[in-house]
Amino acid sequence: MSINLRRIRIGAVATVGLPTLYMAALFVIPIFVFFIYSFWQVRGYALVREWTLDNYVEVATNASYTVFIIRSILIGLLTAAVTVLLSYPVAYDMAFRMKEGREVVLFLIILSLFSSYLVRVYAWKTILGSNGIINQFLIGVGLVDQPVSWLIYTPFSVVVTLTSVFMPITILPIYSVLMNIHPNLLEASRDLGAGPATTFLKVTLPLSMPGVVAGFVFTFVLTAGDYITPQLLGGPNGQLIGNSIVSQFGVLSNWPLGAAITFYVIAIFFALFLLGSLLTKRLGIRR
Amino acid sequence: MPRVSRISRRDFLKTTAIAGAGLVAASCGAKPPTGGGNLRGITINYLGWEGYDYAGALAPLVEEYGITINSTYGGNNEEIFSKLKAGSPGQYDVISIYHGNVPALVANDLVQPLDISRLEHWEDIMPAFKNQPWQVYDGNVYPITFTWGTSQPVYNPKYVPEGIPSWNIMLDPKYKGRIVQVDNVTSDPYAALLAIGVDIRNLITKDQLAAAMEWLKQVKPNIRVMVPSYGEMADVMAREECWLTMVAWTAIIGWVAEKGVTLATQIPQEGAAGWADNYLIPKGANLDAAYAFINQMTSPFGQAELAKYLNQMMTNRKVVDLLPEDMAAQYATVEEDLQRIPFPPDPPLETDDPNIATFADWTAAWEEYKAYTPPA
Repeated sequence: MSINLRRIRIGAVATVGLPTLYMAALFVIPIFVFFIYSFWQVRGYALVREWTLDNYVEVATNASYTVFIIRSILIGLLTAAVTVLLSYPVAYDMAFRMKEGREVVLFLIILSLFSSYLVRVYAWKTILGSNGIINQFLIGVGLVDQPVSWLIYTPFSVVVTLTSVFMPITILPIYSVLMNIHPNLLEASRDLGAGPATTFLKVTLPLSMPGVVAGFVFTFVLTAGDYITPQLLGGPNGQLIGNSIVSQFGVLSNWPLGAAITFYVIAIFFALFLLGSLLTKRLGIRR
Repeated sequence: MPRVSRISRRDFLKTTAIAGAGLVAASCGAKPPTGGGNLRGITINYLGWEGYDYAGALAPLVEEYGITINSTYGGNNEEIFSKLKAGSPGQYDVISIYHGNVPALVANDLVQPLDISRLEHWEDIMPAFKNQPWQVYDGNVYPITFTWGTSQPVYNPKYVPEGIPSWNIMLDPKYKGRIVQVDNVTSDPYAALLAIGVDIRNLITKDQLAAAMEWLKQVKPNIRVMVPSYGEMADVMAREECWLTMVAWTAIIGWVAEKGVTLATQIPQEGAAGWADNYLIPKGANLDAAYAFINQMTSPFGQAELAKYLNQMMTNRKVVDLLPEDMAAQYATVEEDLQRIPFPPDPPLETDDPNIATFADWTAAWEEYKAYTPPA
């Protein structure tokens, strides 16, 4: 074996090996441990290491969990849709219209990510609350007599808050993909007689889909799994499946059931993802 | 401590300020227990809720004998129980735990009976805390209660001038969207059981639990928000998003007052569930250490320091002499109030009786309540 081959082998192992080790240690192993947990039980505050499917049966048959999962999916889809719809124009503007302003806006977007998530949730409480900025404005201007109560502690406030949290994270991939669209393609489209709208629909939008899908999926998964915003802003009918999982791992000290709920939800989300993949391919949105 | 996470209380407690002041004040004043036995230079191993080993209350004992307090904390009662069970005899000298867990500790043979003759302040403990069903087993007393509270509602008199004479006013449509409740499986269901007239000193049957959840579902249209902690409940009441609470922790009245909003509280006519925190002695403990700790914490001085630090009711009647006026006033009718405060046992983890609702039944019922969407 020549020295070059050995060097290449070592290089390959290091390049692939390190990230693999990282993923294995910090992701695969912990997830696997919890997967094992999901087949055990807790009795008298102690972990009983007997194999059983009881936890999964409980999750599948208990109507409460079904309600929470459906709520989580609906709010996740709605938030992802709204976030992407609001993010796209911003990313488009940054990529195609702005020249100097582009870097400033990019910096501001990234800066907003530095602020604490929890602080932003509380900020929305102050904006949407009964004595909040919006209500004070509406009452002051005379549009309403009483504060509008559905602004807060409803699914509406969850969607609004999470949209504002995830927009910076959705703008970036869409912007990145749009920036990579070679101007020659757009020029070619114009040369062949297509107007701006047609160019957008037939060239720009399809090419930007990977970024859009990335942003959509990211926002969906994080929203559907969130428990802090639903807990603080969701109201009595806004608890999502994440809240149930947190209860099981926390006060109720039933890690096996919490783990079972987790993997059940992972399976459902994965099925949804596959469904979405098939659909978008069928509808020609993706190649 | 009510069965909810401690974090909000830790936020609230101006720990360093009060602890510092307490230590200074403590050096001048209280007489540490004599207790007999060799206390010089020992370590006392404490397991339990953070705060119930408050340095300010222990200071005279610690300073007199050069004692070290080695504390292990649990975030909730289950954790305290598990740590004791997983530990070895002699690892801990004294533990603190909620009254609902005492039967399980005794059943699991983890604690030993108290020698009443070694308890210096037993005579002064309020009578209500000497004969609770969860205290006495075969004529032996295992826990000594040192602090207690009630799961009673709090309201804003500006919007609710008539107060809360009964739990059933929570059903009144005029309070639609005005009530806040805490997400805790053993808080509001007890209020519901009281509202429908169940005696909660007994274990609850599945039928009683179902009826209580039906009552709660009727309250749900009036619920504006379900909060994860009492700190969050205080925030909601301070912003006047809600006018009244279901089960609350009365300490929030003080926190909310700091934000300029005045709240009030009362025990509804059907009563309010009580919670009592206790010291117990594990098997294998250093008895000198354990009794020294307990005697210090149940002394009038120790109780007064704990009261000021935690803003909770105490059990030694003589604490009233050492408290500031506003705190002492809370004890004016305490013995009568305790007649209307049942201390319910925890739902059992397992039971041979198929009619009794287990903790798992309670959890499932509470999840169902959270999933229930009332008709618009």
